[in-house]
Amino acid sequence: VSLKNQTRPIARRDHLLIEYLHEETFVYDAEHHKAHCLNQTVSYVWNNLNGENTVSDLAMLVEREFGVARGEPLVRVALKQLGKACLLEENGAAEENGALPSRREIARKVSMAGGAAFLLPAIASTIAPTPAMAGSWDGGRHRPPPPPPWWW
Amino acid sequence: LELLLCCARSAPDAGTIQFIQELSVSDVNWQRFVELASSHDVLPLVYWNLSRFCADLAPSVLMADLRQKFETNALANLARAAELRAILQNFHDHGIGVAPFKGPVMAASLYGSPVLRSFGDLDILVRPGDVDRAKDLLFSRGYRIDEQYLPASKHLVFVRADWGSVVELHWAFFDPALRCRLDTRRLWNRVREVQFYGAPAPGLNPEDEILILAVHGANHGWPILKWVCDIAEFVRVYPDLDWRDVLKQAKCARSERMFLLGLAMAANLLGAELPPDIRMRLDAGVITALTKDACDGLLARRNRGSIVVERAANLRRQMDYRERALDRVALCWHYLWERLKSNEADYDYWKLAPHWAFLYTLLRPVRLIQVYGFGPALTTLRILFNGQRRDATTS
Repeated sequence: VSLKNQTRPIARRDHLLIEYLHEETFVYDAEHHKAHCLNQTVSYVWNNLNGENTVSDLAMLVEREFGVARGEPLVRVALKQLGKACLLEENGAAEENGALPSRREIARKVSMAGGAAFLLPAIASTIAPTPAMAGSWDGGRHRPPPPPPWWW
Repeated sequence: LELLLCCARSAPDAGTIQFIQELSVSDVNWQRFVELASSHDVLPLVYWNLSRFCADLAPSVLMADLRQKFETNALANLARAAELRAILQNFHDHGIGVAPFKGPVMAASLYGSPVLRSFGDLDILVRPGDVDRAKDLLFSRGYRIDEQYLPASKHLVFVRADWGSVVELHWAFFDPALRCRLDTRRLWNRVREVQFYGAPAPGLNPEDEILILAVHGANHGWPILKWVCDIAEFVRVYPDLDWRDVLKQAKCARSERMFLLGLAMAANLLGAELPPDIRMRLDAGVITALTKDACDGLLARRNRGSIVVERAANLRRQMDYRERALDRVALCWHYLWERLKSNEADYDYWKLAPHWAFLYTLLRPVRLIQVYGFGPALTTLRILFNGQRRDATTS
């Protein structure tokens, strides 16, 4: 399915635990047991996928929010990544055909200054992180061992 | 250290923010700073504050490293929160009353988000009569009992083999030997409903939970700053706490000193703002001395040396935290009894025939003296006696 300008994607919200922090969004997908960290661009696009905004609307919103000359390439990449991460509703999960442009190409298209590269859409996804990946003193891998039985 | 204390708050005031910025441009040993934050288990808060208030002032390599740790913790915490939500739903469907405490529910209410606090396990409380059914439910979810923490007097530790999730199933809060008696029946009557990711979940009453946190910290000897942060955040988030009620409960639970110590540490280290009448109570000689000792111990993270010294010092601290002489004697007796229980080393040493097995307990002190001499016993006595002398001077 090609992503037309008039497509109105919808963000998936079911079975998700979502934490908004600063400009980023952390999402845990309890259905697929995957965790995602959305950077500010993807986060912004995702939060505006209400089924009413078209791709063109989203592009305008992104241009206004981040002060970039062309928002559409950013929106398209963001939607592609959101679709891959299963964060779009089925009816809105339109996928872009063909290969995505490289980060440099997008940056050029969007006319970003070098310092604004952090606006490039990015989702860091992992399978459900285990507690051992982020232990704590009172649990996980740092749980204090029981006292040795051999001495007082 | 100062920078760490300023960063270990979820909502620092304007003065603290300015102080963080000033300290960041001073001569900070960033490597040591991160080590300290990690050992006190407050990295998420530290990164959160550094990234908001002085991202450009801290070394970029360090910030990138902290960011990665922050993200890992955040995603793991969300996974744990999802697991807790599923467990709560499961228990609810089977008609088992359950109340989560500490962990994600508390982190969400105190810090505003579960990702700003690190936690390694999920603590849930059930009624003593429901323990067997709760165990079965956890087994059906793929958990197994971690046998290294048996025998259990107040909680069982469950581990899920596939991804290492840890659940502590509690039916009481404190080991009976510690002589803290919290009325769990009253606590169950006061359980309230809280919102947890859009769904209602049972939550402990704040007056009960702050007491539990303070006693928990004291029972471990306040080894990490994270637990002090919890108390400070509690005071900040619940300014209308019924202090008279908490104090009454603390007195009933024989843990007034422990409760006041927790508050005093939160006030001294993290600037928690306490009501005047509570502040007055903290100025009592014993509490001041205990607070100084606990704060020094926490900040210096002193290593007292051998396990004998560490245990004796911990016993001394625990005795200091008890108001009643009878509780101190009971604590001492428990300590002695635990040390005199025969074990594998005794069986290997004496190799008695089964019908002489009752002699192991009597022979254990003989073996200990033969192998280790009188040194450990004398060290223990010296630490206990010195502590008592110090008490006499402060009061």
